[in-house]
Amino acid sequence: MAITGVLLKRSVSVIPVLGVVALIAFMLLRFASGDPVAQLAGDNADAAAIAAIRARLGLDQPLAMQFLNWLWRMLHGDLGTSIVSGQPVTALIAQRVGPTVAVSITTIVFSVLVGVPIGVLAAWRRGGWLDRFAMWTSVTGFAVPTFAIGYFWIYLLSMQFRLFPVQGYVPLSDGLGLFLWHLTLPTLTLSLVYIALIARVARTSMLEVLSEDFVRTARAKGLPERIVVFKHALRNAAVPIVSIVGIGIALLIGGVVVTESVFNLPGLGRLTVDSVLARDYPVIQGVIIVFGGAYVAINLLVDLSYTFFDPRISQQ
Amino acid sequence: MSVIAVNSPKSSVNLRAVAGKLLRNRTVLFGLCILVVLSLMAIFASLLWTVDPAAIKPRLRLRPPSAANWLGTDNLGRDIWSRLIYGSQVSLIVGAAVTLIAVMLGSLLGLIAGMVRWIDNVLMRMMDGMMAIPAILLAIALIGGLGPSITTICVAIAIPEIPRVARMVRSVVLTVREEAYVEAAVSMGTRLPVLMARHIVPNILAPLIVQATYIASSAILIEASLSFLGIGMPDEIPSWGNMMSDARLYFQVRPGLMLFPGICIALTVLGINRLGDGLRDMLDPRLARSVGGIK
Repeated sequence: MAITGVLLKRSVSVIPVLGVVALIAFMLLRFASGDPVAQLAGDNADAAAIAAIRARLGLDQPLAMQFLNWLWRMLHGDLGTSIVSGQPVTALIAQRVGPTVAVSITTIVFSVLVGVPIGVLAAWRRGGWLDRFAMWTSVTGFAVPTFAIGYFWIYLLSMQFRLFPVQGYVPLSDGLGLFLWHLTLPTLTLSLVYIALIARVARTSMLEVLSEDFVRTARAKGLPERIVVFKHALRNAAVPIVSIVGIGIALLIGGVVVTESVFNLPGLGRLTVDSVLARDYPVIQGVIIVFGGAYVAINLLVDLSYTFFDPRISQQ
Repeated sequence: MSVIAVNSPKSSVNLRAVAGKLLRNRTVLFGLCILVVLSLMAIFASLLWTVDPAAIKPRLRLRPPSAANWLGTDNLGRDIWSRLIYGSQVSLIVGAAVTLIAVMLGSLLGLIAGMVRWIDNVLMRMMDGMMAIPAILLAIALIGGLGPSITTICVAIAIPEIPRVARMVRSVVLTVREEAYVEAAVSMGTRLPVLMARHIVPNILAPLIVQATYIASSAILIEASLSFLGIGMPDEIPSWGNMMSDARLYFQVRPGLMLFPGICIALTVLGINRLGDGLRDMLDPRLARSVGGIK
């Protein structure tokens, strides 16, 4: 009962957020310098043709009506049509979503697998070599632009050691090995900042938990240190860690846009950059809706997972 | 506490104490040193560059470092050293402008939200929505709408930072509002502007300064990324991001083309971040590092 209540309340609370995301995406077109309709009509169109297109797109109606119409169509899965290619935006996004999701998932998995143990061990031996190493790596990791990290890996692992392909993407249907082989460098590139973020939060959260009474009790009753740290303490330190994984998705999406350009992955990030360069506003709007929606949805899931890690939360 | 002291009547004495404390903190000192060097580079740029940074000399393309071109030349024969110096101006201007815009607008919105209940609800829902769109993506989309120029790029990078500032300022205002001394001031009939200036603003200052450093460093990183993607600074401006973007086809021959601007960006951001970390630890150890400030 309590859990379904929390679920319902949280789910309802994301609706206004999504509404604002839609509003921002909608308003972008209004801020646009130059007339997108004139661009759509082409160079040789006369005023009457432009007016006809304007009417067809509903751009002659009041702004609020336009927004509601647009929202209504969007809720029915219609994000409009690309100005450049003439294809539906949903189709374009569907074509490009694969590489983005693939590299995001490998990055999240890899970062959690590396970041959490680093953070836990750094807290366990506070001030030790791993702690200092992790601290300096994260401080540096936050300072180097993502694309520079990408080119570092390309230079080192592709060009010098010839271990991995320089660029390109192979879909999962061509075999798991080849798929992962092409995703290794993008994942390493994207992970650095994410690992740094997770490790930092895991360390802080663990430091707090490790000083608590129940940890002392667990040690006093002779439990192996491994069990004390990774079972008792880590489970109690989990909520902030899970939460930073969710918040970090924003960071990840930002990094994906850049990383896809470095490694020439045909994903949503490339689509965004290409459509900005071509001023293809419906596609830009669509991508914002998709990324914003994904971010909200993932953080909703993260919030709901708290009840799994800490049952007290569902009772509040 | 120290920042509150700065605003007290005895500020001249305490200011010196604070400055002394700042300079004894190694993290802060490290950050300050880098910032000072960068500022000097930017201010005296025209004295430091040896060759016109925009001069194209096709016959001197991709040259290794020499007496004439200290760090070599790029694919169009332009002098790397001079362009790096010029790039420091770009980064500094972007960092400062973005921080100024984001901090001013964000504080204003945060103060209003903290003081007026009904605006608070509307405003914070707007801010939540803005924060759901990753900063770099929103900046890209805004540039798509506004068109690329130095001004629009600064605005586009600043807008996604506004909600983060507004939220922080609002949360401080909401806490301070409940304090007994504020209640006392209100009951004595202190008017709102005076209340703000005397009691609210001094409390906001410390976290705001810390957040400003993170905004500045993230702005420099985002500008570099945007320039790299080809939707940032116009090509003719030698920003560090543009230099790295130009280098993508040639860095196998001359890794320095990518390395030197990369080191400049990393050192600058590192310096500003360390300054922020040091200030944060000094001013308020409990203040959590703003996640949004990291790119």
